[in-house]
This record gives sequence, C-alpha cells and structure tokens, in this order.
Amino acid sequence: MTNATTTTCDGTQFLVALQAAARWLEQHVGDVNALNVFPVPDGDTGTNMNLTLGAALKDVKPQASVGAICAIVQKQALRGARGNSGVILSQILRGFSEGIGNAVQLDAQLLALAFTRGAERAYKAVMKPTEGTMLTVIRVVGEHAQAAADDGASLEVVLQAAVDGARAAVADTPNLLKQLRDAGVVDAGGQGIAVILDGVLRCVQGQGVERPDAPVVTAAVAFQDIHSDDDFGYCTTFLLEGAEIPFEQVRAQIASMGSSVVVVGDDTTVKAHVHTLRPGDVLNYVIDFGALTHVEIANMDAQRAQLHATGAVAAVAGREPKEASMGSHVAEQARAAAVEQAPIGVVAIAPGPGWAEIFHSAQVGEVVTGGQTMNPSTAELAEAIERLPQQQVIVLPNNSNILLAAKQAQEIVDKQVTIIPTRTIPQGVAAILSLNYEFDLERNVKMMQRAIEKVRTIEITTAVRDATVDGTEVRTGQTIGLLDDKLIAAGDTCDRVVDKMLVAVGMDDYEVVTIYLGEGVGDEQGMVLAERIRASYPHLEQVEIQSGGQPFYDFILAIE
Amino acid sequence: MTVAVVVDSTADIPAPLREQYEITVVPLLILFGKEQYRDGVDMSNEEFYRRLIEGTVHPTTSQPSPGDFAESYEKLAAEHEGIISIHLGGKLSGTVRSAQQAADMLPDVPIKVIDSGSVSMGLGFLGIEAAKMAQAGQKLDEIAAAVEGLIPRIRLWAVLDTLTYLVRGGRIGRGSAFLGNLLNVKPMIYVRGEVLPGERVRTHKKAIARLVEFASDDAPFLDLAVLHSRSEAYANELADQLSSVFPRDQLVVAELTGVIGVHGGPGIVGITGITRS
Repeated sequence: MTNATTTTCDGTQFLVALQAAARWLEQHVGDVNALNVFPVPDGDTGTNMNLTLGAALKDVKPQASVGAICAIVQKQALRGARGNSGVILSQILRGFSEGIGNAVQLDAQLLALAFTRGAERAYKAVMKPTEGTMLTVIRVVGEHAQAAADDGASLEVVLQAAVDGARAAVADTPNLLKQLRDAGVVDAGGQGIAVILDGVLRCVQGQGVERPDAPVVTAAVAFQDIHSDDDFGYCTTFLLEGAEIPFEQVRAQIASMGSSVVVVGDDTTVKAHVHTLRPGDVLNYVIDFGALTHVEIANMDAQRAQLHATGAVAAVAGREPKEASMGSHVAEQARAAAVEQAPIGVVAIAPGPGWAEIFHSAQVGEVVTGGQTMNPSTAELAEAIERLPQQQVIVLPNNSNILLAAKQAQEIVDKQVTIIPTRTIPQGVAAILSLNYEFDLERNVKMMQRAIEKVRTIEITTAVRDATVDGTEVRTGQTIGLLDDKLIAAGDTCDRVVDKMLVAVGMDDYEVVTIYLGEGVGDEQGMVLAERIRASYPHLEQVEIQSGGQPFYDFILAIE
Repeated sequence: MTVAVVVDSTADIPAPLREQYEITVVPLLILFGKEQYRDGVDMSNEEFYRRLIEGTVHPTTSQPSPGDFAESYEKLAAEHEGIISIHLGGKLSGTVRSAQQAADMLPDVPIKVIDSGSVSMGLGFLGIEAAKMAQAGQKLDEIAAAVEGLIPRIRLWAVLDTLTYLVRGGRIGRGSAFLGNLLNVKPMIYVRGEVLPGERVRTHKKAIARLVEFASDDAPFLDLAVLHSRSEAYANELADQLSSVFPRDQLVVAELTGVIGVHGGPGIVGITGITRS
C-alpha cells in the first residue's frame, strides 16, 4: 500500500457515491431492460436492479462509518430485492458489507476485499452458477480491484480498475454464454453492475450523473400501484410498436390527456398507462405513430363497484356457472374459511388478474401479483408468507425470475417455508391442484413436484426484434412460441405457430388443454383457438378457456 | 343363539353378500317432494338416478326413525343373543343417533350401536366382519370391540364429478375448500368421520390413476371395494387396475345407494377398504 496516502473515504462520502450510482442506474433502466435474450418486450433486469438498489438506499441517513452505512444498505437490499438480478445484487451488497465489516473508513485494500466478498456471496446465491452473467462480472471486478490494490493503487484507481474490469467482463459475456451470443446481446445483469460502478466512479471523479440523452424511462411501475382512490374515468393501457416514434413528444402529449400517466419505452416500443375520460382520443393520437397492441380500456367506476361487491375483479370467459345453488359470494367465504383453517398455507405469484382469481379459487391463501413485468420483492413475498395463518407454507413462484427472491424470503421469515420451483404459471396451477390437506408437508411437496413435471407450458407472444434464440430465427413482428421456456417456433401467423408447438409437444399423451387469454385478448380469439385445437386433436377430453390477463403473452396454454 | 348384525341402507352391501352373512338392513328414506321411498327397497337404483338427473324436484333424505330401528331390533331379539347395529357416520347423518334411541327404548335387549364414521362399503365391511365373527360364535362385546378396532383402518377415497350435490345437501364441511374453483376440475374427497378435501384432478383417467396409487400406498387390505354412482365402466376399469393391490375375484364392486347419490350425485368413482393393519 505504498500509494495509499491519497485516499480514504468515510461513510458520508460513500453514501453520496452510492446514491449517485443509483441515479445513474435509474437513467439506464431502459438500456439494461433492452438486453433481453428473448425478443419479447418483457425484459426487466434494469427495472429489478433499479428497484432493488432504490430500496437498499431508501431513507439511509449519512453517518461517519462506512461499515454502518453498508450494514443498513445490505439489510434493506435483501428485503427489497426483486427478480433474480435484484436478488444477486442484494447478495453482492451483503458480501460487500461483510467485507467492510465495522470499518469506519474505506481504503483501497478494503474496497477490493469487499468486491471479492460480494462476488463470493453472489455465487453462493445461485444453485448452478453460470459464467457469462453478472456473477462473472462481479468476480472480475473483484479480481481487477484486488490486482490494482496489490499494486498499491489509490482508492480511486482501484475503483477505476473495477469499472474497467466490469466493462471488459460485460463485453466478454457473449463469448461465455451461447444464448447471449445467439441473441446478439451482452448480459443485462452484468451491464447493470457495470452501470452502478460507473456511476460511483463518475461521482468520485466529479463528472455528474445526469445523463443529458437519457430516455425518460420511469421503469415499469406496476400499474396497480399507481392507482389512487379518487381515480375516475377509463384506465387505458396499450402497447405501441413502430419505427422512429418521437418518444418524448408522445409521452408529453399523453401526459396532457389524463392522469396517473406512465409511459415507458423508446422509439420503437411504447407502453403506456393513462386514466382519461376520453380513451378514444388517446388511441387516435398514438395510432399515427405505429401499430397498437394489448389495448385495454377498463371503466374504473364500474371496476370499483364490482370490486366492492365481490372483493375481486372478475373477468373470466368460457366458464360455466358452478355450484348453482350456492351464491358465489357465500361460496367464496366458505372456501376462504376452509383454506384459512387448512394445515398448510400457500403463496402463489400471479401475473394478471385472471390468474390471481384462479389461484384464489384453487386454495391459494395469498396471491402476490407480479411476474413477467413486475417481479415481487423479497419483502413482498416475505410479508405474504407472514400474513398466512399457517406455520407451514408452500411458495409457488411460477416464474424462474422469482425463484431467488422466494428463496431469500424463505430465509428471512420465521416459518417452515418450502419453495416448489414452478417456472411457469401452468406449473403453479398443476401444483396447487395437487395440494392435499390429508398429507403432510413433505408428501405434498413430493406430489407437487411430480405434478409440475407432468404439465407442459406453451407461451405465445410477438417478437419485438430480430434474433436467433435456441436455434430458431425470429424476425420482428413474428409470432413466437415458447415451450417450457424454450423458444421453439416462429411464424407469420399465430395459428401456424400454435400448430407447430402442439406437434412439438406430442399431444397423444395428453388429455386436457387450458387456454389462458392474455391481457386484451378477446374471448372470441380464445374460442377460435380452442376450436382449432379440438378439431386437430379430437381425443382431448377438455379444451378449456380461462382469462389469465397476463401482459405480453396473448396465449398461455397448459397441456396436461 | 348368535349375535345379529344390523346396518343401514347406506352400507351398499350387495344382495348376495347380505344374504350370505344374514345382515339386516334398515333403509333410510328418500323424498321427492311429498313422495317418500325406502332407500334401496321401493325404487331401483336405475330409476332413482334417472329421476335425480332428469327430474325437476331435487330429492332430500331422511334418517330412519327410532321406531323403524326398534321394529327391526325387536324382531331380531327373539332369535339372537344380542344385536350389533353399525351405521353411517354421525357427522354425516343422524341415523346412528336414531339407532341409539331405539336401543335405549329396549333396555332388555343387548344392543351395541356403532358409529362407523364412514359410509358405503366402508361401513358395509364392518357389517360383514361383524357377521363373520357372529357366525363363528363370538360374543357381542367381543364383536363390538373388534369392530371398533377396525374403524381407524377404514379408508375411503372418491372422485366426484361435480360438487353441486354435496353443496345442495349441505354435507360439504371442510370440503368447502373446493368451492368456487374456476378451473374445470374433479374434486377428490376422503371420508373419515366427515367429508375431507383432497386434491383435484382434471380427468377421470387421472382420478383412477390416483385412486390406484392411494390404494397401493395403504395396501395390504383385508377387504376392498370399488364404489360408483352410474359409472360402471369407470368402476370396472378401476377394479381391473387394482389387481396388483387386491385379488380381483374378492373385490366388491358396489353401486352407491340413492341416499348417497342424493348427496354425491352421479359420476362418483371411489375405493373403500379396511387395511390389514
């Protein structure tokens, strides 16, 4: 440490640097989100890391000790972590904090050690660490920082080495991971790490962290979070796809047309949410800039009235009325009471109102909304687990990107929690249907694991860019089909893609198909699809249509 | 002089077995509006289910009166040293209380009234086992103690085609957990004192596979029966698949009597048995 005379850093300075990093990341959310392996507009790594870091720094007061700051930050990060990238980030912060210990001042050696500890924690957080991800990036950061510190570099130079290391490691991710190479992107989580460190360095070097060219991406705020009680009129959401959309102009115009406005995107894709008395005016305005999809207009007055009447917003198609002799409200109460008294509680994550209702109806005690576009935080999951009256709780994440947050929640609650690793929502449904109160937790877990292996999930969506994924070439605008999270078909019509998918499944061994309609997809489309499937596979015992309400994916099919 | 065995009509004991073991059956009552029928006596199962499914009047059921039981007990008392009277679970029906009242009315006749906590052949097998012991000359107290000992070993699982009938009849209890399910599923139930909710399956084929698994898990069985309501084909399929669990020629296939049909509806397939230990 020959050159260590130049710099140390105290807690207050350290906090300012972290806040700057958070601000810098916030302005890069859109860029990081765009680094999505799948050509689907649901990338949320930037969002998740931003929300996680935001939660970590929330209300942290300046104080002299770096160690004290770190301790608060890591604790808040663990609870606020969303999505796998957010969880890994929280683990990096945890390791970092452990490296710092109760040191008051940060110096070059300590910083390098903290990065290394952060990397170690991150690797431990994942069951099968994969190289070419943010894990690699933070590990390389630690190595570069350590090398610089060992050379006697100053704190700032060590930080510079860390940033250089991060950039190089990010650039190298496609060489390590074939999926990235095929998709033509670098790893999103790794990029997030690089952005955060870059923000710290900019702060230290006095470069400022306001990005003049920053697209105003407010992050994908969960739409249900932005509604206030005095909202009225029509809740209008849509996805606009085009080329050279004047994003700023569109955003400003929409903002002037209503309230609770959230507009996210860039010059090719705009996702908007607005409360307005005249939804037609908004749609007429934007249609000039591109093609509209996922249009949803809900009358909030009616919605609220219904909410008050039934306790849930119902919008389910193709469903026969059941238990005719018992009012649905009474049935719901009786069910809720029985579920509350059950020996095992269940938390499920649902990515749309229809799914939430289905899970509630199928003995799930706590439904957490979130999923493809808005991953619930560790704290939200932990709170849902704690709200259940049961001591034994099963969690159904229903999305591979929620798995780590669920595991983190499992660690912070004082209950016996088992996570069934459901990666798709149909797997979650299969798991909950196999719940049997007559069996103990262990046997239920076994049954659920068996149940999820038996269901196949098909997801149908639209490509938002050209890409090659899992060996399939995809052009922008094509319909693409995923089977159990793997892209296996692309085509110009939805029908053709669905046909290919069903052939890939090999329908002979299956008896039931459930079609879950996405947000904004009409019942009729579902019925047409159901008819096609029935005609092609007459041996099926049931082809059922349900309203899922998931964003982006027009159809999710469960094949059982 | 031996011990006489009495059960109620929900025991579903097929006629040949009933005759072989000389078991007396006291019928419950089925009411279509003001029309009253003795369960399994005045109306065939075929006719009953036809009216249940097609008719506009939903039937209700009624337990036998203490007088009905007393009448049977008095007849049997003349030729037997005692009577063991085994019935439908007390949480499901007042039948067992009615029987107990009748027994209390006849203080001079040794009568043991037993709550099986079960239904159909779950209680039917208790009757058959009691009759075997009676035929072997065992005393009332011994038989009653042995039958009580068998009760925890009764298993009864079934899949319902619909919850509608269970809800109408108000016998749903903890099965309320099944209510309002938006997905088209078939609920599986247990009967152990009351109706308990199990898992939910999508098709009959899967239901049958699960029933076979349940039986395999709890094998070996002393007695085993396949139960159904208007679902003979599925019942036979299930019986065939159970051959690895229980000898096919000893397996009883029984159709659920009207009283159970009123509460469970058509399309039920199930298994009941008494485990060996």
